Amino acid sequence: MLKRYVSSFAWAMLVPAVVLAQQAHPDLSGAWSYAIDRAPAALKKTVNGVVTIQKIDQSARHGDATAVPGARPSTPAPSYKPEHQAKVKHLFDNESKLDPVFYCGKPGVPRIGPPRKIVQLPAETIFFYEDISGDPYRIVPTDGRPHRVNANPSHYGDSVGRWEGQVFVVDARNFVDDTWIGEDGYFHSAELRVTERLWKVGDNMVWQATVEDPVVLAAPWVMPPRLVRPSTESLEESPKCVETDGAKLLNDDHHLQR
Amino acid sequence: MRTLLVIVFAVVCADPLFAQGRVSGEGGGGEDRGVLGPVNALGQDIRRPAPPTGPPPRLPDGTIDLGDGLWIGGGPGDMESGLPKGESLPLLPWAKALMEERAKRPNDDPYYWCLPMGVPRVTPYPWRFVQNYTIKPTHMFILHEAIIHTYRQIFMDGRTHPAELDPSWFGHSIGAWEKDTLVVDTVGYNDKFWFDRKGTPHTTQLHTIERWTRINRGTLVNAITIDDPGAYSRPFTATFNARLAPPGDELMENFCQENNQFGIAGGHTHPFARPDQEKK
Repeated sequence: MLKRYVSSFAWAMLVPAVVLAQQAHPDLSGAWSYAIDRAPAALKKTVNGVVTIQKIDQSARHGDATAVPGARPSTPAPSYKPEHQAKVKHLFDNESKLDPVFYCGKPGVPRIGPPRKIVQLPAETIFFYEDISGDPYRIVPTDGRPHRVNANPSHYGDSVGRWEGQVFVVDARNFVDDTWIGEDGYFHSAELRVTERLWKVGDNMVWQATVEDPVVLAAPWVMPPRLVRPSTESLEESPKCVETDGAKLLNDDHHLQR
Repeated sequence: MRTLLVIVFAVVCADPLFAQGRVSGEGGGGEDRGVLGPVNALGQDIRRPAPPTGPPPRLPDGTIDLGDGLWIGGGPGDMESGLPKGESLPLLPWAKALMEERAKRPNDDPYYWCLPMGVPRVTPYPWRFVQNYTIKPTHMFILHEAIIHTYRQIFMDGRTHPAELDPSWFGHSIGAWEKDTLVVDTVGYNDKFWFDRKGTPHTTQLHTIERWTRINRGTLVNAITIDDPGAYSRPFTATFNARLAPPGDELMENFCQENNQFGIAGGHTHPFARPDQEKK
């Protein structure tokens, strides 16, 4: 009985400590608006030779990415070393045939963008995504541990997180080399390393990634920030992509399937 | 090496050996003790310490902590094996016929096509709960290492199921604690997944009630009630045990699609397949 009382007392003391520890940094927990990589501003359809263009209002999907407080200077596209530029052009010119996501490949990091939901725990933060390739998740330890030394390379890499003031910084590395870092043929090597920064601006969250790949990139690519609005929509299981989908692609409508 | 792995896989999954050394709910096809010794689906040695005993840990508010490690098992490799001794599945005639048909075409198991295993099939891969992210959780999650490295979402905020749901692989789950048992009520399933490798079927009328009880630090019992009037003459409850993985084990990224050496994508057929089904 005494042991139980002492235990309960210890927990009672611990609860405020846990709450305080969780409040020492901004709480990024919650659901965030779905924000696919550079969704198109218009849909182009060709039916029986007739071309129609339907403009898409993206304002609800993407916040204003300009002049975001705390954002680093960015460029819209990565800068490839001269010897790799022809490959990028080839991949871009044949994107509909070669983009791995058209064949149910994983978008990987950073292409999958900001998480749809974040669960911030004292020693780890978990990112949840919605994606037709299988609704992946990432576990980001925040307990100071180093990267795993014996992990296999993977699509979403090996991540560790830390707080730099009010900014949550995720260092991801150890990737496979068969994802793209963005549309337009942006391939990468297994030396890819991605640093994601997440912070709050008012009720919104900003996600900005920096891509380093000394093998193929001429310089680190600081991506444009994404201002992501909070969402009241729960996570929803995505329809599963099957590999036969690629042959059925007629246009880029799939960018806005969700 | 790949050939060796396939051979090992086939050997450990061969039917006569399946009954050996199996712990209900902890197998599912890969963890049985085969002729080569204790190996998993990858042919790797399993040298697991005994699961820890002692009382289960609790969160600061007294709730049982289910999120302090990885779990192995807790779902069926064979649904019928989770029934009380002497009972059998109350299959409706058409469902029994479908199961018999599936036995002839085991390659059709969606699992072999890298599709989600659904509920309650989790074995033989590790998984974990995400539970303690606030003092009073509004959600819980189950993270699966395999086969598509995805998650289940469980609403813990008292909501009810929506009236209309799009059928899905994991359905719509709401959870609540009944003393020290986590009760997860799920509807809204599709009818695509198989409960187990034997092709035990269900329909979109499936309603599951999982009752997760951590009876000690190292053992989590899943007593799952299957209520599916579309396929069964009455509800039934099957019980499976999950075992806590050793400290330090972590979930890895596992996408079956990317390295599917065992299923159809690997050019191999199910070990139960008839010779005439062998892929040429």
